Amino acid sequence: MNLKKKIAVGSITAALGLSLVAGGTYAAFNDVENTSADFAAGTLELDLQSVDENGYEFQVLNLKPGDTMTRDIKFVNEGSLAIKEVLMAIEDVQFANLIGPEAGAEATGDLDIASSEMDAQFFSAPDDAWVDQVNTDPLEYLDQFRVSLITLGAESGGDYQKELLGDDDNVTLKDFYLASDSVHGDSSKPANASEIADARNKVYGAIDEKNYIKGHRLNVTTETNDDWEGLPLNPYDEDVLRLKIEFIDNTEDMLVVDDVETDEYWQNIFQGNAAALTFSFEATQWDGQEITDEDTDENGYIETNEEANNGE
Amino acid sequence: MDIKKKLGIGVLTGALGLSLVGGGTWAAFNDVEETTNVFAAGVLDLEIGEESTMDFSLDNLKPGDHWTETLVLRNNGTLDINQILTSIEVTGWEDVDALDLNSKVYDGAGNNKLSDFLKQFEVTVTDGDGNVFFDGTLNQLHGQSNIDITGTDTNTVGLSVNDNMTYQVDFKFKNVDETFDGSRFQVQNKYQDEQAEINVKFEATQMPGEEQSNGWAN
Repeated sequence: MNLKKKIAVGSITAALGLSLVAGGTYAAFNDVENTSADFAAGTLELDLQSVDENGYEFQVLNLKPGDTMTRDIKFVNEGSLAIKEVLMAIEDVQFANLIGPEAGAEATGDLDIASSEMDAQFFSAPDDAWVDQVNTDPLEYLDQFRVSLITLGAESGGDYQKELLGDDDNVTLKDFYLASDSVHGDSSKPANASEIADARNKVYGAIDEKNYIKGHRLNVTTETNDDWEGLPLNPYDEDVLRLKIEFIDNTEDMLVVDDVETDEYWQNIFQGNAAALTFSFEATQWDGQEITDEDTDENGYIETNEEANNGE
Repeated sequence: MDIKKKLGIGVLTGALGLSLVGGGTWAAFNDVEETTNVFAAGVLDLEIGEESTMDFSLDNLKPGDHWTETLVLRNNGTLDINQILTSIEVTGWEDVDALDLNSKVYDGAGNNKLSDFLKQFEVTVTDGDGNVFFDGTLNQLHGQSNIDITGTDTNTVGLSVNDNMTYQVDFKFKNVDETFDGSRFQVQNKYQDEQAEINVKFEATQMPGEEQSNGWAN
């Protein structure tokens, strides 16, 4: 604004000021400046996707010992912020026994599906010795399933692979469930503190890659300590968890009735057992960082928040 | 001398001048004297200095992120500035439930008010001498009006001609490690994808009027 124009504006203000004088203020001249700042939060969003036609959830009925279920769970970053870790836990277990004297015990939630389909199969109990000893203990049933975990990364070359739990570790779903830091707390589990501690020793002792252990949960994305760590958006990364669950085939233990060994396998007592497990996968953000011009593009979009470790 | 009085004299002088001109042609001898009275108003001009970074735009923030802006106010006019009255409004916000917490956690979990969002941002304002001028949340600043930031009374110069005042403004998106009861979801997830605009208005006021002798008044 040049001086002439400024004075012209000043005169108008002065004329206006006369009426303000009557109102009791002498602040006739003023000047107003404004600043305007925009700030927007990003999104942190994990999506689970299946890799093949098997999907990523287990919905298997009519299992027998020796059966194996393998699911590839693909972790896709659907947000605008890099994901640091995906923490896996078994949050809770629902169990039902659908056969024998205590059949049909409180099937709930996902187990409704299992029980409705299996009721027809096990409408009447067969006339076998194990029926009187049919298992009603959820943990005993889960202990028949061996679990293995492998993370597969799409990092740079795409052949990154890390075995967290292998078959030879002999970790069962019971161990994994008791070791997991459930959102419902340890008290929600049908086990005491020392059993839970034993399970943690077994599971976390079996894992060679100690840096994947986060509290009482496991990080199931890649810990590569480079640009591909976790699930960054730049470079774009997808990781896959290969979760294998095997119904252990135990032909060594025989059913004992009245202290006499029968010719029926002990595992027969699990016939008609059903369980539903809730796995949770929690995506976490990277720590907050100091934002400077070097972190943003020309529109103020924080590009380094799309990268592993804040782009460091 | 206040403005009203100054203008009054201006009008009278003008009228007197006209009558002198009208009566001036009859007598043989005469003498004419004129006075020239100049009343030039000064300029009250507050400027936001070029070093200021208070016009900023940040997108894709996450909890824990923090940043620093600088506010430079300059008296670019010819009149001393008395006070700088500051008003702050936040606009352009709307509630977003990016993760659909309303169905994943409980109905209402994804909802929040503007005040809740603004409480997630800590603001510290430090003056040029290193004194903390304000330490609180953006929510406490929102809706404030006419807060003097010069720290002077109505008779003291707050920002003299050609002077600068500098403030450092630190912002932090709080990181609150708290989940909904019985859920893995962090409560702060409700703020994902939300945004707002901070509008700050600075009004410079003049010093009180005073009796002036000839010359450069202020």
